Amino acid sequence: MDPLLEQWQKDYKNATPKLDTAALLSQITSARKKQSIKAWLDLVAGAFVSLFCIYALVFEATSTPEQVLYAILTPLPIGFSVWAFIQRKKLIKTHTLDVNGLLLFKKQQLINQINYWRLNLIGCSILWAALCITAAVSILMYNHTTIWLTQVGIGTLVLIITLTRYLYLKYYLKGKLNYIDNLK
Amino acid sequence: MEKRDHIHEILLQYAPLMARIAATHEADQALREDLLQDISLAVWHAVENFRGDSSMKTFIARVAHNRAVDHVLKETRRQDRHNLSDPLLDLVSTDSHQHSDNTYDLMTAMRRLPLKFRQVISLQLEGFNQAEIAHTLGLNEANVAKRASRARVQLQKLMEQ
Repeated sequence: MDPLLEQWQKDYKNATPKLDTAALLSQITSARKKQSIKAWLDLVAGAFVSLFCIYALVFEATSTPEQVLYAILTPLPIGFSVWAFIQRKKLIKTHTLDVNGLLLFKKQQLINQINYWRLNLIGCSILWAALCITAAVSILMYNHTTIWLTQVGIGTLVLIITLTRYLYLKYYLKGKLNYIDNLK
Repeated sequence: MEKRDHIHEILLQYAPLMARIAATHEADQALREDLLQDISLAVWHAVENFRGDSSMKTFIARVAHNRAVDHVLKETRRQDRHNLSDPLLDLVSTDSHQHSDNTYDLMTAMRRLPLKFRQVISLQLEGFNQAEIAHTLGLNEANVAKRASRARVQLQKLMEQ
């Protein structure tokens, strides 16, 4: 090795920050425990909500539409919790990727994120349109104005938030992708 | 319990390496401590699945650089916080005042290098060979050699400024 690199190497080793290894070890042991508890709690919470939906389906639903609604709702919370649990495990695996692999993963994540919000926006728009039609019928035929206007108001708010988020992410996507490309 | 002790031992052994990688990527002390914690946690998870396809040191450097890049991406997004002239306040100097200045200059200059050069040079200074650097960064050896030579020229220029 040439003398300059040797000198730099010496200086670099001297740049080791002060370390309290005992404190570090205790911090990460506790952080690891918290992560694990949180992951299991999310899973249990999902299972609990699904169980509640089953309870409502069996004991609370008084009409067929209600039963159908609870039957559709039942698998969603537990399904989402299991999906989140698996995603967490997968995310941990990405920590062993080499730097280039990680940057590719990050790019894909950004693209997936925008696709997710696009789908979300389409879904919200369809639900919002259906809600508006139902509200119009209910208001005109049964005169249930307040409750339906409130629901349309909430639906509109959700739609605006989703649209804003989608447009925000889309606006910055190209810049973020370029930034990652420059790191490669 | 034995497995946990083994991981603790590994973490203690490689803590200085992880801390240097954190210091190369983050000047702010509080953020650097967070990054070191994140790296250590990732190493803990990763070591459980280590299959021995490289040395433990290379494996840990790979995980640490992975987390450091993720940190840079997040922080850049959060704000342009990577103030390159931030002082390194708590460096341990084992030598004279002059040596401390050299260390300060080197780290300041390294942080001003583009990330792709910074990573190669920091791994080189850790004593990794080209094949190990290639494994850590996901490059081929020819690319590593090219980057290392450019990084060295740029670092030298920055240190002379």
